[in-house]
Amino acid sequence: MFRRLLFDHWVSIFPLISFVVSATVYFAIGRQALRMKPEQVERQARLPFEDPS
Amino acid sequence: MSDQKLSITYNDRVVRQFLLATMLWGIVGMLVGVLVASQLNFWRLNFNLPWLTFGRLRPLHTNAVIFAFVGNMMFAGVYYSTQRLVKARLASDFLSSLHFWGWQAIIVAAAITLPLGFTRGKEYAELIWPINIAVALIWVVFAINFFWTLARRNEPSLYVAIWFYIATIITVAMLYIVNHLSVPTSLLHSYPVFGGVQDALVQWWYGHNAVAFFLTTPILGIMYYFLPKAAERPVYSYRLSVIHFWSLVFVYIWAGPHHLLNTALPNWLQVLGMTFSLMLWAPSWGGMLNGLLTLRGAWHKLRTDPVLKFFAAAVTFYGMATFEGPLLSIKSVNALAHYSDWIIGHVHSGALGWNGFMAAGMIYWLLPRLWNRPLHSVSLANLHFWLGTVGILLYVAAMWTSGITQGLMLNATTEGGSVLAYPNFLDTLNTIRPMMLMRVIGGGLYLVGFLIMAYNVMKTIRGAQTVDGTIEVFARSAVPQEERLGAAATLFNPPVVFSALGTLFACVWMFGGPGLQIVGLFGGAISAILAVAHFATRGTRWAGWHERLLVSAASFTVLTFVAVAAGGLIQIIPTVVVNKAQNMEDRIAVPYTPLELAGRDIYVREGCYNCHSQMIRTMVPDVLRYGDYSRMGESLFDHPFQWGSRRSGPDLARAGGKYNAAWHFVHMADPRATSPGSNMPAYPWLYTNRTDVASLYGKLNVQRMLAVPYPAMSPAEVQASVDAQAKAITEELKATQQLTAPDREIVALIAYLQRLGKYETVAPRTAALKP
Repeated sequence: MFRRLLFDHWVSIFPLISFVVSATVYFAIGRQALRMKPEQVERQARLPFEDPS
Repeated sequence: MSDQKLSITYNDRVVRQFLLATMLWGIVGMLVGVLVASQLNFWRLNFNLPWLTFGRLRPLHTNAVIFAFVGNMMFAGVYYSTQRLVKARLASDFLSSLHFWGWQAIIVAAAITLPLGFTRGKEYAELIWPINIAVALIWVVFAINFFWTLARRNEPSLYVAIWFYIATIITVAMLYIVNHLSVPTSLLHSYPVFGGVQDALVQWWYGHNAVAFFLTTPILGIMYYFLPKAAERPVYSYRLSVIHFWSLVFVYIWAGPHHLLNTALPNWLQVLGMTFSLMLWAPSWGGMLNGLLTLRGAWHKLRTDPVLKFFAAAVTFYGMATFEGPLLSIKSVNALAHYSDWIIGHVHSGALGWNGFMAAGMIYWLLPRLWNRPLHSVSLANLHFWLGTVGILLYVAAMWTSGITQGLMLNATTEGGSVLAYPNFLDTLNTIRPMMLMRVIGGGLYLVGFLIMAYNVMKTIRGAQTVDGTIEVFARSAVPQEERLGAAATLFNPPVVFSALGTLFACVWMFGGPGLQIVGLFGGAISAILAVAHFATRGTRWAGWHERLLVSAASFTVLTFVAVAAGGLIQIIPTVVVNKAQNMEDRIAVPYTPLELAGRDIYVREGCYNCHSQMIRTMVPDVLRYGDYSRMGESLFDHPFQWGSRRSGPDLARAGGKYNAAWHFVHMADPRATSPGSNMPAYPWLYTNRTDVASLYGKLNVQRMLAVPYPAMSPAEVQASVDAQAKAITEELKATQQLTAPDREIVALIAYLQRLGKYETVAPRTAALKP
């Protein structure tokens, strides 16, 4: 275990893992954002304008 | 919603205070920046004074710009926008005031201690331990004030700017505390608990994410509030801002190791750092485009409105810097750019363009609203913009050119790659001198622009009546119970549970033995299949969880913490657990003698790491120039590590024995006597100051506590060891007509420098460990 962690190269697997993890996060959040209700999105986006200044 | 109508007056006093402090410390930080850039051109500007040398002033510049300038700007923007977004006055006037004055006291303490040489020797983390504690306490005051305000809010929903502020507060606290864990040896000195590669990883996890969560996320929050206000139209896509937030917060934290590519850092960390950095392109550019497209239909206003000019340019520079960052994280590009001025140019396109221009836009927008008077001169604001823009472009172009020149020259080889094309390091330095001068001019122009803004601000507010914003709101009823997320629902829900399972099995696969690897692999695959199946059949539960999260500040904070902590823990814990002497192969460090340790403390005090690295990368040109590449075991006992991040001077990892003691003796008194054309300062005080031997006994005890294998030594034994080694060095010096007393600091420093690159060989344990 120690040798693997300290001295192995890992180049064959870690780029793939990084990509899959990132893509999963992007996909999940993207899907969630797209499914937000339009009125909720509109309300949120207008929050800065509820203050008169 | 209740019928009770409230009239709320915001606490804008503290916003004004932070805003003026931003101006003051911005000028100080940039002035020191121009001075240190000038020192690289004209070594005489070091004035042979310890507290004015480059090595001590560069940390003052970086700390002043990051924590004093951007810090104060951030606090002003956060407090102004948060009150308005949640329709509530800041929870406590006392905490607001304590926050402001406490932060200014910290800045003053830093401005005094850094030039005096009191430092921890880690970039952007130089402040000594009592100031570290003060920073942590004041940050907690900020957090309490902020979250207490959220708890009293009259607006149930949390706008995306507030999300960025939450991420900033909890992540900076986590980063700062972990990277500043130290054991004091005195009131003014400590050693970091991490050493060598551990310290390097923790430092750049912190250093990279200081950029991410101190210089980026709070400013993105400010962008999402102030840019729509200035453009008088909502953010281009609120949906995109949601994606921007979560993807940025999750991915950013993994990218720290890209500061340590091609070094002795274990390769799995380098690969993670590089690939996650590349993934950052997507969220960064998503956010940048969201900012720029918010200006749709308002582009014509840029001609007349300096606020929008600054914001548009700032977001553009954000896009440039966040394109360049991942590019520089590609290992082969990094081989050219690392340790060179290209990195300095990259940092400044972010700091001057993104942070500085966002600050300017925000200040110009806030002035009339906080002092109830129009801006004194729009023309001067426009002049500021153009001076600043030209200044940045000159600066960045100079540093790109200089950095690429450095990289190409230092890496150039002939004879089939076996001989260096430019073996003399100073050839490179003297080639880039025109670019270094252009940097001073660019930085100077930027500073002049900032001084013009200060004049404009002073003329605007002189004699003006301050005004605090007010609003009338209906007192908010509590968020309905069914919309809230309790503690259990925050953590025990499908997205979090499946993510935790996946992480757990990934760790089992990676760190387990042969049998456990199979368990981890299958467990991870089954978790992924179950997650997809659950999502397909119960997707509404996933969506409902996120919707409720958006109105539950406490739950949102916990989840954000989990998202940012995951990357750090997965990278740091294995490194801390595994990176021990018994696991080293090939080479291992030998602990410094007491005199060498004293010399090392002098090296750290003078900030030598600001120009000299101690890390020979796994690259042919580095090995040809400096010697065999550095192994992770060789710096195992270095608290703090001194790998450095730039090479204004050559690498020193194997400097020991390269020259004799007399060479170092002459070199430190007058670097140009041994190295014609050098821009290194002279260090005359090392020849008169006495080495602090009295503190060594305590320091050695602390080193022993940190697992450095020193034998137990009495104070008398420490003194005897110091005397014997110092005598040997002075005898060697005497033989070459260099006379000095053995108790002078120069002797200790020579002892340390001559020790660099010495190691002990250990037998490889490869065969025994293979399955």
